[in-house]
Amino acid sequence: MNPTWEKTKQLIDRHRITYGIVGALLVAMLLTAISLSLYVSSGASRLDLSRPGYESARGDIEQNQSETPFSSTGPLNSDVANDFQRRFDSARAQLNELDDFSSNALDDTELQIAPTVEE
Amino acid sequence: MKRTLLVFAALLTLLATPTVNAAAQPLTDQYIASIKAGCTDALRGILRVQKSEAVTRVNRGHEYEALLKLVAAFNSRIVINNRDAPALTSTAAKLPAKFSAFQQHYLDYADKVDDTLEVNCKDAPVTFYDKLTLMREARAKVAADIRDMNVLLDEYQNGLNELKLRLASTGDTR
Repeated sequence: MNPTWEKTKQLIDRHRITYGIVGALLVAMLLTAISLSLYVSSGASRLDLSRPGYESARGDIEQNQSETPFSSTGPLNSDVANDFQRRFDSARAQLNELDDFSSNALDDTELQIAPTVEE
Repeated sequence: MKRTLLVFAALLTLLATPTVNAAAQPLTDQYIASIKAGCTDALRGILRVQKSEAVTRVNRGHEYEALLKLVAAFNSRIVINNRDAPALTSTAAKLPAKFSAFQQHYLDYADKVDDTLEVNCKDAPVTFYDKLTLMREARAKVAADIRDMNVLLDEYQNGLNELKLRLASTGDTR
């Protein structure tokens, strides 16, 4: 057998616990790095309002109403259609109350970087 | 072989060339001075918008996901009951793609916001303004996706109105 491998094996055998701990730490760090990378690359970090700085924003998250879900099986009649319409209208009303990213909040005047016009 | 390598090298050079993103109009000295003077307020304003729009994005995402589930469930009922509603099925097929586009464009916008906030607008006002312009363009795409979703939802409503008329006229109590 390879003498270098034999020496390495003896060294590991003598300090099993130490190498075991170091190995476990390295694996944990690697998995953490992979998780963090996925967290950022998937965009989940953008939606995570538990990040520092977003404390005041968390209270504005709307909680899902606990209504029985609309069943995908069953009859289709006027009553069912009306029930669906009610839920559909409710969802659209909620959407209409939300900002639609078209406000002028980022205009030069709003950001106070537009030069003042001297009269 | 040599020609192939030369073409490949030329293509790589073109791809590696940094693209210069100039503002639509060059900034005047007065504008640059104004950006430097309003730098702190501008950054504060962008941060404020970033935070409020993060909440909006989460709330909107929740509502869109709930709507997509609702629409899918209703369309499933249409199929199970052998009803013909082409407007509903075709519109429902477009909604997930548009939602994905909204999600992707928002991520792009969020990246542009971070890029803008990283620039020191007192030291580099022109770069700051360029990044701000890109950020606004990315935001406009998100706004366009929301408008498109509204159009699709209106189409869905029209299809639903037709179906409801047919259900009422047949007196369907299945």
